[in-house]
Parts: sequence; C-alpha cells; structure tokens
Amino acid sequence: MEDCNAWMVPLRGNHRVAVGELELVHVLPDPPELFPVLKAPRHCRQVFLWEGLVVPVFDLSLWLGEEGADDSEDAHLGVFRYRPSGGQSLRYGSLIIEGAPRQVLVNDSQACGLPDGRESWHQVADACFDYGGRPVPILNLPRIFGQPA
Amino acid sequence: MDGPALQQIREADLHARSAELVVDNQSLLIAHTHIHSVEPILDVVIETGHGQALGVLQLGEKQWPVYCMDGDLNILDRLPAKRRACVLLKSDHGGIGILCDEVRVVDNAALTLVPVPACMSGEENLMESLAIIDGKITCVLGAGRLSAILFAETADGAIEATPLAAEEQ
Repeated sequence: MEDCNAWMVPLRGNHRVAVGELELVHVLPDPPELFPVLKAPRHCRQVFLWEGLVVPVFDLSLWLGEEGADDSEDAHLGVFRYRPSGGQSLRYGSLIIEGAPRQVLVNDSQACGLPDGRESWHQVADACFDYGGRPVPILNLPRIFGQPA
Repeated sequence: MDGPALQQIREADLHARSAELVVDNQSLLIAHTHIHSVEPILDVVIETGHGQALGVLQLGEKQWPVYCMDGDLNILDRLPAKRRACVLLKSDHGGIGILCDEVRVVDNAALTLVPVPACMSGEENLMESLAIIDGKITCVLGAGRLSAILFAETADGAIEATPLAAEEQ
C-alpha cells in the first residue's frame, strides 16, 4: 500500500486537518498587516498582501462554530494554494493555524469517517484518516476558498 | 462581473481619479464620478426628523439627508468628533451625504484593482472590488451599493433622500 505525504495542521479548538503535500506553501513567521473587507463574513473578513497577491484569511475554527477568537491580528497564518474548479490558474488563501504543521505519511488503511457531531465538516472535507486514534479531515481547499460563504 | 463603481474606475482615461473616504481608520474607495461634491461639516444641520439621517445639508434648492456611519458602515445616531467632511454622493436612491474623517483624492493609475476573494463574497458583502494602493488594501464601493447598505440598515426600510435632478445623475 502506497504512502502519501500530507501536512497535518493544528487549528484552534483542538481540531486537526490535513492538506496535500503541495497545498501548503508557506507558514508566515510573523503576523502580516491585515486589512478589513467591509461586510465580509465574520469567519473571513480580512486580507493581506503576500508576494503581491491579495490573500483572504479564513478562520476555519470560527466557521465550524468555535467561539473565543474573533481577532486574527496576532494569529499564525498558513498560506495554501488551490486550483479552482474549471482548471483556472492557481489561487491562494490562508487559514488561521495554531502551531506548526507537521508532515505525516498516510495510506488508505487509515481511512475513516469524518468527525462526528459537526455536519459542517462535510462541506469542507471529502475524506478523513485516522491518526493516533483521532480523525483528521482532508480539506477541500477549492470548496473553502473558491465558493461564496 | 464588474459593478458600476468598478467600471467607472476602469474608465481611467475619462475619470482619472477616485476618492478615498476615511471613516474610523477604515478606507473606502469611490469613483470620482459618483461624488457630487465635498462640503464642510459645519454646513450640516444636525436635527431629527429625517429617518436615520443625522441631519441635512442645504445646497442650493436641495436638501441632502446626511448619514453618519462607523468604520463597519453601521449607521450612527451621534456625531463622533473625528468627522470633518461631508461627501455628497449621487445614487439611484437619490443624493445622500456621508460624514467622513478625511477625504483623499487618488490617482487611478496608482491603484491596482483585484476582485473580492470568492469566500468573502455573498449576499452580505456588497464590496465591488478591492484595490491595492501604496502597499495597502482598501475596499471599492459604488455610491449605489453604499446607499443600498444604508437602505438595508434603516429600520423603516426607506432612505429619505432628495431625488437628484436628471442632469446631475
């Protein structure tokens, strides 16, 4: 059975998610200057400039219903790339993360169901694997960043 | 799809400037052609009886309802000390005045327009675009959409605005 590299990313609220090896492109060492986008959804209402691009800041924990961190000024950000459906060029988005991502090897024997209790996982993840006895959803980045909230 | 404000800004050869309205440190870029004039706040008469407008500004024969908003575009019923200018905007809802802390003129050649990221769009977000100016990112909005936000904010669902004469629209 073939192993694949993935990044396991910790999020606030004791969540862990995973993305493909090439989908995580950068973890910002310092918080960037954030700019508000008026009337944007609460979980995604700021942008920043990175490599000349405007990158949205998505708080997946807040979107999942976690409360307690409504301010991303001091948050750690991971920059992710994705290709929108329809074969368009690569786009970039960022997630608020809590701690350093970790590279892991995953294979099909670890497949499991999405975490119980939050139906919303099905909107942002297509698959899931077990790691250390806990389910780790594999994010569908085009669905997170490429569609209206 | 571009909204009217974006189209106006793109017509740089005809309308080479935009106005950057600053409210509570929040910038908002509006095409120059959506602006009737900028008036001193001293000319605004603060009085009740105009819906959620904080007061009115008399300009010639016309009376413009004047709104005060915070940096999140929520209507205020008080006048923060920082407000210095009243920007009179043309829109389908009629002419309205918006109180600002500062108004700057921006050369369209100095800005780069980028779309609002898809995950930030939706019914709630009425921003037409974002603009990069001097390493900062600001929102781009048309006077019509700003009026629509005010329209949605008013409890009675109506903006008491003075219709503009046809030649001014």
